[in-house]
Amino acid sequence: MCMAIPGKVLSVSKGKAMVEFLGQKKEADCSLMPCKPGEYVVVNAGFVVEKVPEKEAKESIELFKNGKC
Amino acid sequence: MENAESVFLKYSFPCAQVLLDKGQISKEEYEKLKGAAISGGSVERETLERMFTAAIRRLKAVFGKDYWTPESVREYFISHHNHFIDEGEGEYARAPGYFKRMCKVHKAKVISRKGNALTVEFDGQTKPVVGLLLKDAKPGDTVTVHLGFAIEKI
Repeated sequence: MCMAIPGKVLSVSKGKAMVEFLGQKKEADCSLMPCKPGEYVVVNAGFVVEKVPEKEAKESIELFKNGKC
Repeated sequence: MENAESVFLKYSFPCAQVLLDKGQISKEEYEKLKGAAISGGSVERETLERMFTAAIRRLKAVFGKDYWTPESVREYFISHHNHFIDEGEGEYARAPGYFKRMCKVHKAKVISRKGNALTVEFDGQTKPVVGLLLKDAKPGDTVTVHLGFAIEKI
C-alpha cells in the first residue's frame, strides 16, 4: 500500500508546525512550505512538502481509517 | 559509484516515509535508508526489493530481465512511472488525487536555493522542494522531483 496520510496543522511557531496525524502529534519543519493552523499537510522526512485541500484530506483519512488504502 | 541500487534508492527514498507511516518498515530501517540516500550511497538490492515491491513489480513489467541496471531504473522513474499512476495500476486505483499528483516524477528547473530548500518550476508553477538529496543543485539546473524531494540533476 502506498499513501501519505495528511495531518492537520494545530499550531505554527518559528518555522515549526505541530501536526496531528490520526491522533498523534508530530513536529514538522514548515520553513519550506509555510502553513497555518487548520490546514492539512503531508510531511515527508520531517518537512511539510504538500498542502492538501480539506475535503480531499478528510476523505483520505476516512479511507485510511476504514482500511481501504 | 553509481549502480542500480543507488539510483533506485534516490528515487524511491521519498516513498519510504509512507512505508514507515504504515508500519511496513521500522524506524531503524527508515533511518538506514535516509542515511544512505542523503550521503549518495546505497543499500543492498535485497532490502530495496523487499521494501518497494510495487515499484519493483512495475520495473520488471517494463524491462523484463534487464530491470536491474542504473539505466533501466532511471528510465523507469523518468519515463514510465507516471504512466502507471495515470492508469491507476495497483494501489493507485484507490489513491486520492493529491497523492497521485505528489507521486509523479516531474522534470523541474531550479529557480533558487536557500539551505535545504529548493524552489523549482514545473508545469508552469513554482514549488518548494526538499534539497537534502541534491546538495549541489543550483539555479538553472534541471532536476527530477518526487514526493516533495529533488532527486537528481538530469
